Amino acid sequence: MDKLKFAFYWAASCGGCEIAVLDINEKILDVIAKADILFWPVAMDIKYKDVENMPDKSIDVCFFNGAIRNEENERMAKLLRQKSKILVAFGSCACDGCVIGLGNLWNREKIFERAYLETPSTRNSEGTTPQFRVKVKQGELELPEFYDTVKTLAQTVDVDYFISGCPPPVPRIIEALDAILNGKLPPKGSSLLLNKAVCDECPREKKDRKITQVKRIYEIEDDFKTCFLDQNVICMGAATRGGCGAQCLKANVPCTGCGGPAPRVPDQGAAMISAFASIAVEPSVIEQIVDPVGTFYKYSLANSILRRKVMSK
Amino acid sequence: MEEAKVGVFLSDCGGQISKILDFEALAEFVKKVDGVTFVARSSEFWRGQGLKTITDAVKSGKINRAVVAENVPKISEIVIAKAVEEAGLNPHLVEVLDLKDHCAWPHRDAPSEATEKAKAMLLAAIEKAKLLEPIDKAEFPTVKSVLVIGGGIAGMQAAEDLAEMGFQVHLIEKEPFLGGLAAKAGRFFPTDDCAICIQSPTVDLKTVTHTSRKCVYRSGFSEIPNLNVLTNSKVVKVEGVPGNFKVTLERRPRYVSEEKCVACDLCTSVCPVEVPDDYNAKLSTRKAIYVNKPLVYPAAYVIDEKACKFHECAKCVEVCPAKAIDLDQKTEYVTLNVGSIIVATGFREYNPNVIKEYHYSEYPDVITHLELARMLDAFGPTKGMIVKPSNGKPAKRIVFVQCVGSRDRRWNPYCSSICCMISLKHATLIKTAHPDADVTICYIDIRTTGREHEYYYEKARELGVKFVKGRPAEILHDPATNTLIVEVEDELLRRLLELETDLVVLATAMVPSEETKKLAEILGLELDQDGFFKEYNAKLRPTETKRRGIFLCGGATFPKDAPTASLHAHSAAVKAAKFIMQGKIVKDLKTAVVNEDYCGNCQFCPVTCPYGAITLEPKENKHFVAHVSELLCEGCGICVGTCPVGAIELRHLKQDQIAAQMRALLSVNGTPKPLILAISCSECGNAAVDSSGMAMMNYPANVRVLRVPCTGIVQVRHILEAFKAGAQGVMVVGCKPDGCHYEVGSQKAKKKVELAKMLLNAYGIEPERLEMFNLVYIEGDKFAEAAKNMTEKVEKLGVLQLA
Repeated sequence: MDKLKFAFYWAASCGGCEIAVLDINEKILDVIAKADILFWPVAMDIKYKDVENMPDKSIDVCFFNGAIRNEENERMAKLLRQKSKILVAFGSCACDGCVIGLGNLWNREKIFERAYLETPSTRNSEGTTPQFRVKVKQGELELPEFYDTVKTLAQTVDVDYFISGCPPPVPRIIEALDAILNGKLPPKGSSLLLNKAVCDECPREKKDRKITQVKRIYEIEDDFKTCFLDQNVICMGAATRGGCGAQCLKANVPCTGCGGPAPRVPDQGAAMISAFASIAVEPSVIEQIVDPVGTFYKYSLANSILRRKVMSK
Repeated sequence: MEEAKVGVFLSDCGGQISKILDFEALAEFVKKVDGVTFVARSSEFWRGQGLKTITDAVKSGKINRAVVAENVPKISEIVIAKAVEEAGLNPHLVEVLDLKDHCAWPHRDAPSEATEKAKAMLLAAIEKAKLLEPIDKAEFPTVKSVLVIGGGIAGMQAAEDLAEMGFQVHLIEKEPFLGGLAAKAGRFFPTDDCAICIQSPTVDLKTVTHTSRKCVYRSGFSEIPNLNVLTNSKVVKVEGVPGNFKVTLERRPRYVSEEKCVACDLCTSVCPVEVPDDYNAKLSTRKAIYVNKPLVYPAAYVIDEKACKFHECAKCVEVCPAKAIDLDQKTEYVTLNVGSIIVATGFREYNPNVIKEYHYSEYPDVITHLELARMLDAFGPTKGMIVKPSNGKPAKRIVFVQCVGSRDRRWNPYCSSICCMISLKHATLIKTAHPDADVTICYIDIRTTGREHEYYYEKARELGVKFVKGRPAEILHDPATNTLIVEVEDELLRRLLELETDLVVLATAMVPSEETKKLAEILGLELDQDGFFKEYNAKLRPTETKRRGIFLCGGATFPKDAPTASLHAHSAAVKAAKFIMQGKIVKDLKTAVVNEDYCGNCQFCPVTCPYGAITLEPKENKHFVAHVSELLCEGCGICVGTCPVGAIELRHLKQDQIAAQMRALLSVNGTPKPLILAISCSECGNAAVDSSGMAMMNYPANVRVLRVPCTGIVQVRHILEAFKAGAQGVMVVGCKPDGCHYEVGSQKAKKKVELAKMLLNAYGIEPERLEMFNLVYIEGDKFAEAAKNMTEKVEKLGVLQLA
């Protein structure tokens, strides 16, 4: 049998997903035995042009990480979709927008102002900000256009499978690779994480489920066994797709929601807000939330119902 | 599932609303909607020929879903559902909407706008109907047996009612004898008859005539068929479900067989142990083996385990002619299977020890009402004489102090309601027997609100009882004369008084019985802020609780006089009987269902369910999933509004139905004003919408109402989806926070709305575009006003541009 053809790509991401691929350790040998990697910018020197020259659907599986932040991301998403039989949204950025997606609380103008002009460590007396086309002596330079709004991969092209997480949990990557290598993939559109929430995997003990105030993790003396919510610390585990084995919780850190929304929920943040408000004992608890988007939408703003902030014109 | 074939039935309400709405246009509109297979118009569809049109369409197989636009849906939908069921269609496949009160009347000034809104409403109903699924009925067996907890006046009367109705009744009392507080009270106001009088049974007991009242021990109470009295017993565990409870009782040993004891008193005469008699307020002593007098029930002695020397002595065993005494009796655990439970645990006197200025435990001549009642009782420790406990000499001067520990924020803020009358009763009894006695009542307000109570007060005045308006500051004791001095400011005369007296009687607060809190935990009942059992609804369901099958009566809910306790007892008996009399509970399963594949074991829903209907079911590897009791679930959807993974849904309103209705309601505007979605509960919220229409109050047609069972089902996603679907403003209309039909739904919705407003702000959307309103039926005007105000506010904010 011919070897399978894989591709890995990173769009707007931090690079953590690439590390996660390597975290499968010796499993990579099984992968190499059964599959050739045609394209992997982080590890191989292949140009976009080479991809463009590949016949359509010549890649069996493309693992695409990163959100769609700029024109280059979008172009590559469309190109890889065209060239791949199966496109996997790999990691939180590709699935839900992740932290990159929090950029949707601003627009290009505001982000540039902040990043290139206002930050205390920036010295930019000329007020230079990125331009997409600049004429210099040697000719015209081009940069990919930076968009106002971050999109997920599925908002840009048709996606076959999703494996969220920041980065995706290694056991689930291995399961996904096994499924691909053995031709046992679930129906199109499935997530390769679990259908249950992180809470289901969490070893911490649930108590009376009544939130009486909101505390930051450093404000409590963790007893290392009681659910964080029962200790008044917000944990997103209840509203987050599991499959990670509650690894953060096992390291005594509350879940911040990288698994994205649960399968039957269109908006992870709204789901957790509804649950949180329902179990908050007093209305005053609500007022103690300082940053609702940062707390409840850390990974999923771009994949939420409203997707972005309304910017006044 | 069979493809949906929707019949749409448009009633013009006798031609009333076709003057406003263009029915031709509506009929044309619905005919074009996908899935509509039958359209009819009539002046009414809930009876007569109109109703037959619906049932004929069902029978002919032309339709398998019905959307009926009809007047007064709350009533018409019952009739229509019943009729379609008889015609062979599941009654839950019918959607009834109100084009009159929700559209034509309130928008009658803008007929074309109203017609466009009517289209949106019809479309919403059709889209929902297409997604409706049949809902089955289920039967739950009920055991025709009742447990009554507490053998005081209320418990005894409820038990008697139920036993006479033919139910097996178990009446349990924690003390060794029935009678409760009433038996100690001696006499009752305002009739001054014996406190141990109860209604005599009306079943044929051969020797007992059916006169209205008898002493408990003469009433034949214990001989009523089906009545099982268990004294010395308390509930330690309740399992099972309403209609089929498994109750475990702990029965402390009596050491004397009730069956064998002949109450001859020989045991008492040989018993060498003498201890203060609790029953007689420790004003006299009794033996370690004893009965209470006057005798109530059972007529059998009991051994005080704390006092008895048991086998060291055993003199009573030797003399007992009936061989009734067994010193080796052990605590038994009795299991009962009952269908309903009545809690009649009563109240008790507050211990005034904590009120330092009255020196209750320090000065023997400061006593409470119950202690005085024992003195006044001819069976009591002083045989009816009023004495100073300090020296046993007659007390000629007596001062009553009202509101001791009640109406006092330091102790109990509430008015115990019966203490004024108790003081009047005791003052009257003393003055009648001893006209020369000097009796003074120090009061804040004399409260005589019951029937004939004011006459009772007048009688006391005529007898020469003195009244001083003022709460005494301190009670002092003069050791030289062994008299008490009550320092009180007479507020009417504006002067300080020092009342010299032989005896001070404290009218203490009445507080919940001991172990009320523990029993509430065992039964899963709520207590009110004062620690009494909380009823389902003070006005309409005063003897029911939120736990189905568990009822309350007597002083367990608040201090009560005997007539009120009686009334309460009879009410609870009827409710308890009604609950189990059919031998089964038949229920439409309009309940929540958990999808176990998705339930993430967060364990939030069991906490938010106001009915305790959700429990955790263990699965493999120490995992749990939520499980909904179909019997206990009331179908409010508060769990749905809580679940962060969408694993719980209502059978009668699924998420896709909510979404489809929302899209439809916002799909057609037809007015120049911004669309506003009002998500209203089916209870007070929708009633306010109804009443605004009924009263023809105007509000603009851009306001669209989406009905849900309870606002507790609302999730923040619904609010966001509404904005996404084109709403420019969202109203959440629920019951009053403390008047929610599902207890907490409205409060939970409020919190969600508040947090959603914070979220909207972060999204750059004006939080004023979202508001919660808490309305009741009679506030239709407020709904109309809110709808108008919301529209104006949103108009000023301008068009919301979402990405």
